[in-house]
Amino acid sequence: MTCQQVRRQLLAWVEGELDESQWLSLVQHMEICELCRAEAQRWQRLVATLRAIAQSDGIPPVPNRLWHRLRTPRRRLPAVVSLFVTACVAFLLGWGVRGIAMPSVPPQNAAVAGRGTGDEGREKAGGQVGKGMGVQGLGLSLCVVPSPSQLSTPLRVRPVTFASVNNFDRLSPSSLSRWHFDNPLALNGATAMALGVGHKRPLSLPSLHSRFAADFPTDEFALDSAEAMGQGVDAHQVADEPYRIFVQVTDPQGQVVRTVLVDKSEPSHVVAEWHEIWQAKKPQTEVSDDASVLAAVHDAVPDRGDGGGAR
Amino acid sequence: MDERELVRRAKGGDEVAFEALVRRYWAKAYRLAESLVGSADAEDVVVEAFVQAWQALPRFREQASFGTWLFRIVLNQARQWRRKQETVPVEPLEAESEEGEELSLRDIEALACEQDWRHRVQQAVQQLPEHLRLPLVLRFWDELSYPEIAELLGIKESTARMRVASALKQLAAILAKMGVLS
Repeated sequence: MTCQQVRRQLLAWVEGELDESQWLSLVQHMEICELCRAEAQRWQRLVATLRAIAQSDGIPPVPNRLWHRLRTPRRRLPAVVSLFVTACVAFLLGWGVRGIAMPSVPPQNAAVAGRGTGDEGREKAGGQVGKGMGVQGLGLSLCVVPSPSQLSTPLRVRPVTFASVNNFDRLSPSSLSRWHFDNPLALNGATAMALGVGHKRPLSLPSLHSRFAADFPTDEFALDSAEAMGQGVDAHQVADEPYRIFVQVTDPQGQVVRTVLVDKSEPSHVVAEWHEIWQAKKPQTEVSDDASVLAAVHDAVPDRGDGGGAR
Repeated sequence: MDERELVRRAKGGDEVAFEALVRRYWAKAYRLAESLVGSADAEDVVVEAFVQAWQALPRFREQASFGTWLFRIVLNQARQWRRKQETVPVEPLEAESEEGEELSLRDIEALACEQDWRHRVQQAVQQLPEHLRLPLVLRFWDELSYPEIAELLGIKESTARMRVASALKQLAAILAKMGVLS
């Protein structure tokens, strides 16, 4: 065993993870190599100290103010507000489905494919058109997203549309999820980009480049992103705004595969997600200057928090 | 009681169950926060994290363990806290060096004292870059497994192992520089 091999296995050694033969050859090497032995002893001492620190005192008891604050009831909205929001959701749902079936301004270089529309051929066509497209026009169709802060339970908007480039085939584990994209495994290696903040103003291009690290494909969304939203978005403004952080997920090749709306006040939660089809030609409407309207909401259901989730 | 059962009850609004979870994770969450914001602010950060966890718990999908989910909230809280503190002038580096110098003047017996050694190690941990410090703290202070660390930080398990190994290596180097490790 060489010194280099020993150094590579030192961590496993101090963690006690080596099997007998590995352990033996490592120990044999250390018997004759003073440098490796010294290094191993240093690591051993450090790990023992670190573990001892963890066991030692110095951690304050749980303060009473925490118990106090936990006694305050969870945020819940009055039933009348919930009713109103449900009505809005129903309206939007209808609007979204109608948008799929009869888009008022059909995009020229994109197609919308929706689950539940019963239009299989159209779905396929969407995929073909989307394949190989360059990303020139950007945006989302959900210009009117109901503010989750007004909801008793956050919305879970299921993805219904997708058309993308060839590499989605590689990312997607099955032909089914190619269209429905419910499988989080398809996000392996993905990174995310903050698209914009705020529900009323349209997404603006200057904010499109504030890329930050997201922990895909974890089951919970780590929203440690405000610091990376510096470009075009004030981080403190983001921090103070409880909802409405649009996050665009791209695959390792930089192709957009998903967009999610993250609940800022609940960093573990993605409240809505949808997919968009990229449009090569710049749209003409004012909103479409920044946002080409290419996705659709198909199904909005209250998230009960258990199972399924937003992804 | 089984943790899953505690989580299930807490999700349903059982404050006693959540209290048990708080007691179970308080020390680990505190250590994690301390490694990011220092001991002066760690308590505040952890309190905020637990309050946020309590509020968000009904929407916790249990695809990760409660601990991993909670630690992610602690991480986010600590990072937010740090951003807020950015405007507050930080102690200049020179001051730290002076402290180190002052400590190095202590007599050799005091340095050999276990408490002092631990203090030095803690100081050295704080000097590690965050991408190395976090996996190290999560592994040895919070006792997370490598797969859990990888999941929490959104990195591969092999990367988590490599970072812990690098952290130990750098830690040894820092302590050697301090003159407390040969």
